[in-house]
Amino acid sequence: MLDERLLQQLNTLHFMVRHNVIGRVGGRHLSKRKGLSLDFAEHRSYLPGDDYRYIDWNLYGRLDRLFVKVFSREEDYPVYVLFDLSKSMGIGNKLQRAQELAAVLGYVALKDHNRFGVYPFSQRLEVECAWLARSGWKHTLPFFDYVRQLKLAGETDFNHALNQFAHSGLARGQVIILSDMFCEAGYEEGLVALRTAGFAVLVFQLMAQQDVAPRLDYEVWLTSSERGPARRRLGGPEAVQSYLRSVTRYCTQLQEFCHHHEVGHLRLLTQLPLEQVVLEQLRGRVLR
Amino acid sequence: MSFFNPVAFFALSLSALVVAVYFLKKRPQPFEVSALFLWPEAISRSRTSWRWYKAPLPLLALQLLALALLVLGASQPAIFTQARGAGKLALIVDTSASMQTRTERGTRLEQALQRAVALVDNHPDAQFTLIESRAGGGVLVPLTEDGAHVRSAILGLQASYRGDAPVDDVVQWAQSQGSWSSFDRVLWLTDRQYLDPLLRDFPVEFDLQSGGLGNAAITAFMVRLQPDASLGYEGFVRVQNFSTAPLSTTLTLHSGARLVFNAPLELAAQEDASFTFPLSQSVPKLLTASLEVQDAVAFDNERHFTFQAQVLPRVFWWGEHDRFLEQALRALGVDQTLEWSPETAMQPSDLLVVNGLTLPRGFRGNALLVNGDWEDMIHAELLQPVERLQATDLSHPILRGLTPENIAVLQMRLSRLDPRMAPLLQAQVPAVGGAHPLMAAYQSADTRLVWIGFSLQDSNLRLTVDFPILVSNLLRWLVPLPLEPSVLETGAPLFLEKAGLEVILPSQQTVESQGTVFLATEEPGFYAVEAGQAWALNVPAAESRAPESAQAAPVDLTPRPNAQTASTAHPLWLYMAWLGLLALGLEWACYERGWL
Repeated sequence: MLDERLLQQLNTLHFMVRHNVIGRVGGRHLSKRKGLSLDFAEHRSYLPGDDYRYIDWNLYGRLDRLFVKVFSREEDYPVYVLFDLSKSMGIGNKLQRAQELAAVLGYVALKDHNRFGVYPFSQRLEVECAWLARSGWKHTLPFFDYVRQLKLAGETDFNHALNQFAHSGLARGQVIILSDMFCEAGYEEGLVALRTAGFAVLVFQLMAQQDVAPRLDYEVWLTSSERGPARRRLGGPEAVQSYLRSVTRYCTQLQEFCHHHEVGHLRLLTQLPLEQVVLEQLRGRVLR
Repeated sequence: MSFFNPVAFFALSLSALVVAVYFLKKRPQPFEVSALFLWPEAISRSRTSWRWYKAPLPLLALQLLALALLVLGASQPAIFTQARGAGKLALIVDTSASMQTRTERGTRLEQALQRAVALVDNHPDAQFTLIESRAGGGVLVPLTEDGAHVRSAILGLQASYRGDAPVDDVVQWAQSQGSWSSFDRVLWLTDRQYLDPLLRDFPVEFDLQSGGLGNAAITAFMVRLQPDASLGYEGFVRVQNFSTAPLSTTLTLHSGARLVFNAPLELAAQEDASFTFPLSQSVPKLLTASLEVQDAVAFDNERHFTFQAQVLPRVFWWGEHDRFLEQALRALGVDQTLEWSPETAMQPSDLLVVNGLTLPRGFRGNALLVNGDWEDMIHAELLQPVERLQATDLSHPILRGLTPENIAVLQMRLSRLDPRMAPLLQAQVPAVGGAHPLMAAYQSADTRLVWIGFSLQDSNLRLTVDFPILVSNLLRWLVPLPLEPSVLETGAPLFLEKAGLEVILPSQQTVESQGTVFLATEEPGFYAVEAGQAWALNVPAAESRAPESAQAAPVDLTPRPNAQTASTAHPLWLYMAWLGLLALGLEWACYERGWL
């Protein structure tokens, strides 16, 4: 799924953590929660009940005041990928690119001992076929096998699926949505629910060549990949121009919404090489 | 299966054109998109381009199928089936007026219907066609195996007031249901033995309905001008006794409730008599001749007659007006008089009244010359008193009904008639005390003229009851307009002057006519419209002459053991055409909806 060269490059990459990490102790990411570790963080005034062992007696000797030493706590960084399995992902090579990106993200997360899970969704969250969050290098190959066997099914209902995930009780962490984000019913409610639940959300909007520049220089039966029977007959440059105006407006609205709700948004064209996407678009935004 | 028009198969060569067009025409292909909602609804279709293109073959197959079916339909295919059992029977039932004849066993039609029903019941597996034989009849039931339907149609037949149908019409109706040779039996239930030579080629079994309780009929009734038109009209009636018993009855002629003429009548068996009787100058418009008799046929005891509406003459006036004379003309229907001068053009039906002037020599037409001269023909020289008018010929039409002794003349003109006129004189009324004429009637090929040799003011004529009679006589003699009869046979169309007129039927019901042709004329009697048009409709006289006892050997109505089974052609072109159109519709739907 991932070639050797790309894997070597991924070995040097790590997830960028921008928010408070509330994970399990033992991770490799410093948490703003204070706790027990070897890394000194700061001093603070002594309060009754503090452990005498952490009183900095040297400082007491110089300042004649009691201070206790505070250490940073290292925690892991949960990464959850919400994988869109609706049939619209079958247009172009969006599914393949989503599988590759999921593999990249999983590889980076697992090698850093972060908990990493994949939760497919279409009309609802497909929990029964999810890759439940786990950490550790040993899960890498099974995870690749899991990603390979993902199959498309059904329509997209972002709001329902994302709401389900937001209320699943999972530890807060990074949520990455792999989807084309085409949903007539909207996505706003779901994204807001994720943000409200405390997840850091990043949207990878995958767009195929047919989505950004369809060729309709002859008359066609327009069919919906998800709704099938609904067909319309049109064609010609006039139809294409009209569609492009429409899709541009849609993507702009999505981008503005994400920006307004502190949701990361990356529009990824599937015709670009994966290595270019990873190194030029993900690095600096998601990975470091 | 046979094809009546196999030439149509050449049209199958069109399939090459269909194939070429099909593959040259580019058809829309399915195009799957991620989100249909991002595509605007109102996008006009782009024009389909033409190029070599491999399209889905099912549409081509449907097009070729449609073409094949339409060509097949055009070739007029038919399948032949063998009729079951007793084959094909044509049943012709006479419903003309003579079938109303009452017999000891009901009417002749009732007998015929019983026979027809028996025939149908005896042939449960046969094919029947039912034909109504009368003027304006036709095929009532096309060829069918549904015996119950034929039976109910037979029982629904009623005798009409129409005449018989021409034989060639009946043959044509029967042949519309199949060639004559395809019928196993053609049975004609009628009361008339047709001897038309046409039937030699089309053999028919006649099932004759006969019998009757004796019949007397008026077979002719008309009113006509007498040979000498100046004598007015006469009525003509012919009465025939078709029964084997003598007839004693009364012939009456009436106009509405008014009795015009009646005469006792004695006729021996199978005898006929004709009556001619004069009618007065004022012939009633609607006349009915009737026989007071109870016999087997009621409709021929009365016959009706009417005239077309009479056209009154235009009356021109020259000279001093006379109010009395003008009023008398108005009483006869002449609404107004027109001024005349020698240059005025006149029609042959016009009348000129000249009062006290000299009529030009070359006058041609109809004229009443009162106290005037006719240049070179009549010249009055001096005045002379007389006492009473005396008639020399009271039978003359212009003196009919007059009493000349009632008329006194104070002054008359002493006339000298041209010798050319003298031999043509038809009436002279000399004055008392002399041999000079007071009235003269002149008639030539193109001229009718009555001369009155005194001024109306100088006599008491205008004050006597004879005056309107004289004016009426003068008008009818001077302008004898022949009356055109308006008599038709029942069922004949009435041509009205305009649409929407209300027609009064013999039953006094009023029906509004939808067009200018009125067709509901089944019953005999008078039909009239308010505008004045009237028609007398009578049953054809031939319907009274039906034989009373020409009983022939009854036809055997049981199935014949050697009845041939006839093959019947069932045309299939309509089904093929429908299937072809269905295939075309399916192809269109598949194309439009993108089903294939």
